[in-house]
Parts: sequence; C-alpha cells; structure tokens
Amino acid sequence: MARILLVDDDPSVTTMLCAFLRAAGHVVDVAHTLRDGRRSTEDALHDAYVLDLNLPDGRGFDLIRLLREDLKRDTPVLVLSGQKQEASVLEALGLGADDFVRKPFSPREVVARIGRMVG
Amino acid sequence: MWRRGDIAYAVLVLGTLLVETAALFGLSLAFILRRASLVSGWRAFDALVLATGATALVLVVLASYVLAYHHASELLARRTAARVADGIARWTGVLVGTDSPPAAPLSRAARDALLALREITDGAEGDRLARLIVDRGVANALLRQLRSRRVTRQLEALEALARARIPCALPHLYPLLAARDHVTRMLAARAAAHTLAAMPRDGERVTASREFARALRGPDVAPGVVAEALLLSEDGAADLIRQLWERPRARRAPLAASLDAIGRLKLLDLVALCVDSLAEEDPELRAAALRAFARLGHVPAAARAAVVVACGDPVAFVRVQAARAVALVDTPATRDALLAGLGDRSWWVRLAAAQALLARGAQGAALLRLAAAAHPDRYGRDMARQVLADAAMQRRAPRAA
Repeated sequence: MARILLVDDDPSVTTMLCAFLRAAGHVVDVAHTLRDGRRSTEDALHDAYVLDLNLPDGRGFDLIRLLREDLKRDTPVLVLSGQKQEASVLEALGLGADDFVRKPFSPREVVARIGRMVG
Repeated sequence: MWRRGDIAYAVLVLGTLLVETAALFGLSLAFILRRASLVSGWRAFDALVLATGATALVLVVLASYVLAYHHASELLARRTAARVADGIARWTGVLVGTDSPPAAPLSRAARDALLALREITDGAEGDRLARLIVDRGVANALLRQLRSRRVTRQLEALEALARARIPCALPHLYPLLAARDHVTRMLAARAAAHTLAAMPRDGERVTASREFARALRGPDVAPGVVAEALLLSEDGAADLIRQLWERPRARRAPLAASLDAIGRLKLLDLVALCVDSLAEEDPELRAAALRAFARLGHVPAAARAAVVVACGDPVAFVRVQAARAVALVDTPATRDALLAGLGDRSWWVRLAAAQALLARGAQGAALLRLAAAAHPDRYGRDMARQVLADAAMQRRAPRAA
C-alpha cells in the first residue's frame, strides 16, 4: 500500500484515478491546484505523485522542480497530460519525472505503472 | 444565437423602453399644454413626478433582473456541476464494479458525466464506456441532434461526438466535412479524426480509414479541414495519407496538407512521398515537401541533390522552403546554394538563406559574417548583417532578463 498525491484540476480524472488506485489498495490524496499540491507536498510525505502539467494556477513542472530541487526528494513522479508535444515530455523527464502518460489514458495502465514505481 | 434567459431579457428591455417612452411623451405633452396655458402648473408638475417615478421603476426592474439572472445562473451552474460530479462517481463505480449503470434514457447530467469520462479514458475501460454510450441511447440521441436544422445544436452534437469517439458515428460525420458552415466542417473533421485515432488497429479501422480518406478527397472539403483531420488522427494519419496518394490521386490541396502532416507528425515512414513530390509540377506540392523535410529535421540521401536544385526554383516560396531544408544537407553545394540565396531577388529567400547559414553552427556563422562584409550583392550583405545583429540581440536578451 502506498500513499499517492494526485494533482489534477479535472474532476473526472481525479474521481476515476482515485477509485482505481484505492481499489488497488493505495491511499490517495487529491489536489486540484498547484497551490494545494505544493501545500500537500510540504505537509506530508507521499510515495508517488501523479501530476497534470496544466493546472489552473500554474504548470505541473513547478511541482516537479519543488520536489527535486528544493525538497531534494526522489519520490517517483508520473506525469499525466493531454499535451502531445514531444517538448513537454522531454521537459518533464528532464526535470526528473519518472514516467509520462498521455491523456486519454487507460486507468489500469496508470495503476500498473504506479505499482511498478512504488513496488 | 439566443441563450437561456435572453428572450425574457429582450421582452423586459422592450417593456421598460415602452414605459419610458410613454412617460417622456406624457411629460412633453404636459409641458406643451402648460406652455399654451391649457393646464395648470400643478398638472405639469404631476406629470414630471410621474415620469421620474417611471424612470426609477424601469431602472430598478432592469437592475433586479440582471442581478437575479446572474445569481440564478451561478446557482444553476453549481447544481449542474454537482450532478455531473455525482454522475462521474456513478460511472466510475460502474467501471470498478461497485455500481450498476443508470438505466436509459439518461439525464443530461448522467450523459455529460459519461462523455467526460469517455473523453479521458482509453483501453478496456474506454471501450466499455463507448459501449455504454451506444447501449444507453446517447449515441442515437447525438446522431438525431446532428440532423437538427439549428447550427448550434449540430455543433453541440459534434463536440459531444468528438468526446465520445464512437465508430458508428463516422458515416454521419463524413457529409458534414463539406458543410456550408466553416465551424461545422472543422468540428466534423475533429470528431471523425478523434474517433479514428481511438479505434484499435483492426479490419474495422482499415475500412473506416478508407472511407474517411474518400470523404477527405471530396471536391468541397477545404484544405484546412484535411490538415486538421490528419493532425488529429494521430497514428491513423499514416494510413489516411497513403490513401490520399493512391491513384487516382486526391486534389492538390489535400495532398499538400498530407505532406505538411508528414512533417508535423514526424512520419518518417512516409518520407518517400516527400522525395517524389520534389519533382511535382505544382509548386505548392514542391514547397510542402521541402517544408516537411525542414520539420522532420532530415533530408533523405535520395532527395539531397533535388533540395539543392530547388534553391534555384523559379517560384519564390519554393526557394524559401528549399533554403530552410538545404540547411540540413551537409555538402559543399549547400554552402554555395545558401550564399546564392543571400543574393536572391526575394527578401524572404534572402532571409531564409541567412537564417539557414546561421543555423549551421560556428562554420555557418563565420560564413555569414564573411558574407556581411564581402557578398557581391548589396542586399545580400544587408541581410547577412541584419540576421547577425538580430542573433546578437537575442543572445543578449536572456542575459538582460
């Protein structure tokens, strides 16, 4: 069982992934904005992150930067984004994200990837 | 296009204007009669009080309506969002096996929740949601809506079908690729392309791809629609492009759009089409092929000589694209072609040639500096200086920031 922080502003994504991750036995915290994501990151230790790149108050890249550069944590990060450009994938991986899944996605695949990251 | 509440607002504005007009007419009449000494001063004063009161009443009614409308809209939006969130939770429960699917016909909120989930979901769960969209009557309702005479209803249906990505909608979308309304055409292309991209690679997809390509070949399909369709078809684009180039070939515009898509989607498997297109009579196709090489960042060996030759093409916009593509070819002929391009009669070709030289690293920059001092053409020297100055300014800008 792992504690996962899910940061996405789309309620359909958070509701569905929460249900699938919880069904797989994980504990899930949800943040809908970058600000909430930052607060949750600073307040608690998570075993993995599922992160959207386009948030209403900023870019998901900032949270990866906070994790890797400021907090010096190597917690696995899976980026889940609708962005198709190769540049976004490369930037996310370059900043230290461990995996990248494009929307639309298979929820089972995301759960399996998270399981591999925290297992 | 009338939104909910607009008719009531229009009626209210008309009513208040009529009241105000009547009040002002009565007031004017009262003052005219007073001037002619036909009524007493008190009568005129009464009319003034009445007109002022009517104006105040009109303003209060209008302001109250606007405030009440916004308040009600916000409440309604909040309630709708809560219902859709409940629907999303219910459909998610169906996917994980803790809930049963709602019975048809679905409420608007349940339908929107189903479409919202389908939009973000692929794989086995995505297929299950697509089946639910069909089984619960949403697909049929959207296809009926697609036949509506009102464009807004059609557009709503097209947007929903783009999210639903259900193959049974494809035959209904093809005729709309040539619709009179531009937005309808684009949304139909988008819905069809999203649907094709979501289909598994099997016989059904091959058939769908063939029919989609046939629809894109249509004489009334605009080039922008073809480009949009190809770009959004993702890994289905390659099949569509091959079919557009099959004999008898499609018209020029879809072919040019397909060459552009090869570059944008980096379809290296189809680069041979770009190589062959360099020999096309149509300059649009030659330019599109060269542009594709520049976007791919690669010129195949079989096309290198032709790309250098294209730098001397009689059509200026082909020479512009050739200058951009030839920068990727590392031969002595490239250098000569770009230096010749610096002296071209077209400002755009000179700019492209100078930028291409600069993009060739330290050697290219040195050559451009040399050209800035000693190019035989005065305009070539000017362009080399300008591009070097722009580059220096760009280098300084981040440091200043």
